[in-house]
Amino acid sequence: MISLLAQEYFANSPVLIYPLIAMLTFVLVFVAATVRALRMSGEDARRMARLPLETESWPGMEESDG
Amino acid sequence: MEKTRIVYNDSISRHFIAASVIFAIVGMLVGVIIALQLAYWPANLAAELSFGRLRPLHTNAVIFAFVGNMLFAGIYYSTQRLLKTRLASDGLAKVHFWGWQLIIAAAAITLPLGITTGKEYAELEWPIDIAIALVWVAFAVNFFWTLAKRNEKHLYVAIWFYIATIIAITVLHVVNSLAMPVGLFKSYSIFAGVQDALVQWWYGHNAVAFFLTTPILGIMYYFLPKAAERPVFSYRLSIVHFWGLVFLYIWAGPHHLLYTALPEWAQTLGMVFSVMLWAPSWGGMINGLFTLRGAWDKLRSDPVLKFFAAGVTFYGMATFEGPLLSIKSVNGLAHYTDWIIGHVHSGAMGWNAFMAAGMFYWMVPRLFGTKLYSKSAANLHFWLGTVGILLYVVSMWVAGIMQGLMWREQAAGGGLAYPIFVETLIALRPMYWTRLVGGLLFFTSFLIMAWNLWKTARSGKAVDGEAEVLVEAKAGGEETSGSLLLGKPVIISAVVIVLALAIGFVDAVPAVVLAILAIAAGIGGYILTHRAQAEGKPTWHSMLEARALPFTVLVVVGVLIGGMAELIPSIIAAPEVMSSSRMQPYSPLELEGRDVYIQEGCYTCHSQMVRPFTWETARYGDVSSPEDSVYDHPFQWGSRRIGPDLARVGTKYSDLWHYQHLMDPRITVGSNMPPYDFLAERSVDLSNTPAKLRAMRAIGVPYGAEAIQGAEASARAEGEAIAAGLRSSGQIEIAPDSQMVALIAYLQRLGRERPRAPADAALSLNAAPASGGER
Repeated sequence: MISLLAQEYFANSPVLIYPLIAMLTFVLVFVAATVRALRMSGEDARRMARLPLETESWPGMEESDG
Repeated sequence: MEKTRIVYNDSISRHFIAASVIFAIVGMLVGVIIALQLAYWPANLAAELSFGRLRPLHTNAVIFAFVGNMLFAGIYYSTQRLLKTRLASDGLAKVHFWGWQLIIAAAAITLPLGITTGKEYAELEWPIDIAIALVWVAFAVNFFWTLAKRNEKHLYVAIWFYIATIIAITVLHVVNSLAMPVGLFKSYSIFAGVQDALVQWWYGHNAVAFFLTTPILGIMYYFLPKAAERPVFSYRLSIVHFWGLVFLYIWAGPHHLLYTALPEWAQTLGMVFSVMLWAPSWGGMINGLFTLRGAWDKLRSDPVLKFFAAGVTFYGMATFEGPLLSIKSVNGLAHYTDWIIGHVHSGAMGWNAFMAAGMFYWMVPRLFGTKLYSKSAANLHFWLGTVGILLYVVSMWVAGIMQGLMWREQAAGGGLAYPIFVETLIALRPMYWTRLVGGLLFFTSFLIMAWNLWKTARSGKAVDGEAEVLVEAKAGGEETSGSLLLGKPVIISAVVIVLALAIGFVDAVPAVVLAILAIAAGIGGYILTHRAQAEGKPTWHSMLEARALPFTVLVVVGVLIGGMAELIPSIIAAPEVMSSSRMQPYSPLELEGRDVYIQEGCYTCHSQMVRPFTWETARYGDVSSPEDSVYDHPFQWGSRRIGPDLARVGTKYSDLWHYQHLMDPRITVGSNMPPYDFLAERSVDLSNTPAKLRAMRAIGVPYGAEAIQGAEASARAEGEAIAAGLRSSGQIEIAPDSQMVALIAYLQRLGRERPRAPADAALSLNAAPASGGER
């Protein structure tokens, strides 16, 4: 039955396999990214999140930015 | 580890900010002018300043000049700080800056002159396209070179968004700009009809995605925490946001082509992926807004945060509306109406321009070592701008929905309730005036910002930021790029994909076995990587985040895979569609007329696509098929109907009617079309016609050798027939080689099937067409 489904799907053109590969790749990457995000250690996440806040100085300005 | 002091190159950001503010004013001024032209047609003062020519100037100025310069300013500023290193090459940055401004100047000159490819948001002709590619390469080299010499091992999420921007725009620009030149100022897209439509909207939508969204998201992830003085709400969410957006966005282009002649499967893919985009987009919005947690009180006094909060909110609104408009039934109502214009402007004005304003108000005082000149003026800017956006967007929502409903409204006794197109246009006019008021308010608010920033800059002096940083050992640890690219997650993913695909090719029992194997491979992979982490080893993704090259390669895969999956099947099918077509290529004069149509930007108001709705076929004729536009390099389906669809206008009216209508469109009472009387005075260079046919043949249009040789004579003969017809029917004297005559020839061809001789299709144009008599 599933092969019939495939026959039907590919009836127009065999190159319709590309969208299928691409969709599967997307699903896997999305799942992988989500798993990675969930498993990331809290310490790592906090350190990364603070990267833009590291300080710099501005000659002529009193305050330190960030 | 040794410490070193870095002085950042902030001069380049100051330059880009100045350019961005100037071009924002120019682009918005042109926007106000074209809004006026739609409400009040006499505002079309000259050929070069008519709506059809100025509209591409407005879109290009706002997208590439205003937002382009803004995002370069933000990228250069934040990248140096996030990577803790000075820009790799000041020289390349200068090449980037001046090259980009020259490109903008070239656009500002060529577009009003009617030098255009006729592809929306990609109107610039091929020499400028090449210049764009070269300047973009200079930017990319400098960016990746800076990445290579960084002193911060980890790549912050903003850098990921910048990488995706650089990669995606390179691919989109190169593919969509592929064209066959005819001369210095003219080229034809190598794609035609359905393929061109698919490529164009793959580009068009992803220009929104990767030029107007991803870099601004990177800017949001850097500047919003800076302004709020707290880290981003969830770094974890930003990872999912990034990968979700990069992989999903690239698929969404076909939602611009729903109910068209595009294959059904591509339309469905476009719709489904657009709806899925809701999730990552709102993830990003939530992440941005929640970054302000505990800092909401600052919004009262800090204009920077005010703009950022409103900008991110508009992002949420626009990315809710986009997927909504991609649902086929909603799209059936909204497409070609002003609703789309409202949607686009809620993104452009609310998201892009407000984020730009917030960034400028944050950066300029720091870049000039001073304080913002006037907070009150910045607050006034905010409120004027917000009211302007709301007036603009709400008026376009009302106009669009009204327009869509009027087009489909049935009369009590059957048939269309509003059979005359202009009736719908007249009903919209109050909304067009309201939109103009909204646009004027927004434009004024930006003038206030420009004044405020100017005064701020004048009150200080240019200074470059400095930082003391630890020089880290080269990033990446023991893992090489190759080992990361062939790491466990990649291998396991490949195995799962192969197993999942194989399921489709076997019977039920083996399919179940393969499905179990695929699931087992996935779970096994998870356990393997989990065990490695439990042993204290870094995860694959955390190593990837510290390695720019493999990270970039995977982004390339993410960007390419969706686009190629959609484009390749259509492009492969193109030659077959062309060879089996019953259509005859355009006659030489029709081809010249088509070029006039493109030159005048007729596609900015008229579509050429009859959708499969009874109210469309009742109004315009048969549903459009892929064959109708098989020789259209580029396609001219359009994206909006300020005027009626023209797909089947051929022979609907006489040549005389077309002449009179082009001379004075007010023969249709209530029309807002500008007059095109100047076309009667301007001639077509028919000596160049054979070269045009030759270029067309090179990209697959079956013009025979004799047809090319006799193109000039054929065009003249056809022109003379039309001119003679006008003389006899209306006592009108017009040059047979005038642009008006050529345009009439083209319009009369539209939707009129001209079957090819079955014996030898390739030579079907060898004889001069019997043009005049057919009318």
